[in-house]
Amino acid sequence: MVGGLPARRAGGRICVVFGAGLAALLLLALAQAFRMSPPSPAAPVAAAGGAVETGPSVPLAAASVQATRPPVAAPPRAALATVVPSRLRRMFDHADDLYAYSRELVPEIRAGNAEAMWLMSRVVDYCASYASNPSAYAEDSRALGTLRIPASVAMAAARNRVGERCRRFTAGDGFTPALARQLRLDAVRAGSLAAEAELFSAGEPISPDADYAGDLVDRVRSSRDPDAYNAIAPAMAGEGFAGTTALPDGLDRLAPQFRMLVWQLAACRLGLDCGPDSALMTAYCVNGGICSRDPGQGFEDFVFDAAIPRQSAGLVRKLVDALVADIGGGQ
Amino acid sequence: MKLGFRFRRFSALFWLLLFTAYSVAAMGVVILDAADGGLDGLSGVSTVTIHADEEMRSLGASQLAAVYRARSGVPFMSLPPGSTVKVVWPDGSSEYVVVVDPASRTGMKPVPGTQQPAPDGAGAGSMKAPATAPAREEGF
Repeated sequence: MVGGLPARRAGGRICVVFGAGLAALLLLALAQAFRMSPPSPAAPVAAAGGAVETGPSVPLAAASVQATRPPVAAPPRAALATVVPSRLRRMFDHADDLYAYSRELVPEIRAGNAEAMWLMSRVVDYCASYASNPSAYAEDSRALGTLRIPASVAMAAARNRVGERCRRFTAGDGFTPALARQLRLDAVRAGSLAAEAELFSAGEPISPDADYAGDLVDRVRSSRDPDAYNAIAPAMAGEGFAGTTALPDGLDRLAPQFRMLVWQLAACRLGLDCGPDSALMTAYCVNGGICSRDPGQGFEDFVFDAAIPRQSAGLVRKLVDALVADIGGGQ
Repeated sequence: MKLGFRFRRFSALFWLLLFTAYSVAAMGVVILDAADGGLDGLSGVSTVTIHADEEMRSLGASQLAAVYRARSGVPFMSLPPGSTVKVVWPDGSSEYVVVVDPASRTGMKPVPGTQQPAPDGAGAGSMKAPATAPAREEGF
């Protein structure tokens, strides 16, 4: 009896320690499972035939809807020309009235211009939060302004900029993510690499092939298209680029969010508009809550100021240099 | 004697709970509670439940994540791509979402199979992430 009590106590302690260890293992396994399971990409678009319903009231996008849609297939390498920032792209960055701009895109879309289709998808993305319900957008802006958060001034300015540029759109334009996706699919069919990269980053690769990801990265590198670089950047936070020779050494040593930033910095160096009021800065602020408190700061300064640790800046710059270097496939 | 035994049991339970809480925190799973600070009034969040279509849930989760990042002192580090967060919708139902692209309004993807209905009588989740803490920081 006397000797049994300490033994039971010891047994109890062992049980507690064992239980705690088991709990820790279970929690770690759970954590690992969540970290290692990115959102399962949707079935490849090619398999679904690219059939997506667009809203019934889509006046601006009606031009993009084709009578019969062939399955989407990755464009052959030879068909992909190096993209030089065009008049239409520059207009997207600088247009004060995106409604008027979208009107200019419509005839181009009807003529089968892949870039115009993709740019229309960007207009939809940029303006959707405002156009879907302008009064709710204004109400949200007011609510966010009352939160007294560090970024509230910058966020209000970015939201106002979106509201101003998109002011002539209404809910009747049917700006939904489904419409943006449909426009991207049309653009891919017409040969837009940036649209293809955006679909890939959104977890909707157009090919189920195992080596598709590596091939797409190779094509983006070869194109030296700043918008394609920017479009594929979010996918770089993930894994699965085995087989590609287009990734510079050392990129895999970066944390996921920094890999994404490296590609976006490279896009800026290749000519993407990365100024303080650019679509990139606006998207980060309005959609992601990532706003620079310095209204004159462009994307590159913002990233090195607020994201990249000083001791790692050298490595990041080296990787950006490597990404913008001509790998021989570009023109 | 009896009091001492109870104390030791309580002590063991306390350390076990503390260890479990620490382990959960170490997992880095942030909880975005729509009821926190009146965020359930935002247009993209107010009517969303786990029964809404994926597009709506993605938009709502992105809006909550944007406010979380904006509140933090290190927005680039908060909820980086690849991180998983738990979202508690205004009705108390919840689910996990993965950050795919922090700059996209649809950059949060719900994780299939993680949807939990609202607990009876509950309006919101009970755990809240600290308003200024990053979700998970990763170095180089």
